[in-house]
Amino acid sequence: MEWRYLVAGSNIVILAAVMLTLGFATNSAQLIGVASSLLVPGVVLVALGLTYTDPLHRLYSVYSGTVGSVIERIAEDTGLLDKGALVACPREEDILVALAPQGSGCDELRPGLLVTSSGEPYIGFKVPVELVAEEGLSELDELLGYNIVSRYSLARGVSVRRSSRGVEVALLALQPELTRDIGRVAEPVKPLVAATVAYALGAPARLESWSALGDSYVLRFSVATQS
Amino acid sequence: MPALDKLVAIYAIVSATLTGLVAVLSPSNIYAYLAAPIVAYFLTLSHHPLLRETRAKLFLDTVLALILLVIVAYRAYVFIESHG
Repeated sequence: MEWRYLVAGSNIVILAAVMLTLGFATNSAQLIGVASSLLVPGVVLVALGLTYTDPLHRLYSVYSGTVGSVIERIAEDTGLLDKGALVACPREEDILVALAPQGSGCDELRPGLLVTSSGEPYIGFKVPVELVAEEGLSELDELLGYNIVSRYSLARGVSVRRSSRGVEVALLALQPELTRDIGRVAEPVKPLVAATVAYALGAPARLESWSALGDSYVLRFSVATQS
Repeated sequence: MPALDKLVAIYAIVSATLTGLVAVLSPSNIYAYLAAPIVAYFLTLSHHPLLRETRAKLFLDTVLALILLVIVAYRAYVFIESHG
């Protein structure tokens, strides 16, 4: 939200409303015309003030890049860069997303930089359910569409394909700020999509592979069948 | 000066210029007065990459485009009617 535009826009709208009233009262076409002309920029400024978020996105991009670099360094030092895979485990109050060695079960993963029972290190963090859930949306397609397109504006479209092997999520027209992070171990899209898939299906989702073509980003997950 | 401020300033100048032109050329035409800032919006703000394609912006684009379309269609209808 940009308060300057909101205040300026509101002032212009009020001024235009007064002029419109006066114009109708005196039956002056010129006054009504100028008031209508003033009303449109007023509404545009109010809309800009309410919806403009670009600097915050840029700030988030810097923050995300910095945090990602730290996680990447840890993953590099612990050997997770080669043998680790992103896995999302739905739990009661949150979703645990971890960069863990292949074959690690959800039961043994906890938030933090820890080691599995076989002595291999992993990185785990909690994703609160509120960040991926939305009241009234329970289907995977709807929830992914809502989270990716409407709530976080990460891409302009989402396509979901389910197969016996798992789920393939294609993000279409990814935001330019995110395309440069594609392929990095620690980027925000993969954990969000993984957490959403795990939450919607109520089962652990493991990222098997990804591919990128232009501004499209395809993530393939294997989903553990529930016993 | 932030980039968006410059863009909004350009929009305000273009809008005021077009409104001024309407005031000189057709001072009692309310539809032209209303159309001027909408045209200015599509010329300066709407397509600019600085403004993200949010739902709110798409809604604003659609509403303003519809108003412009109705004005143009109505004026065209009046013109055709008056010329037989």
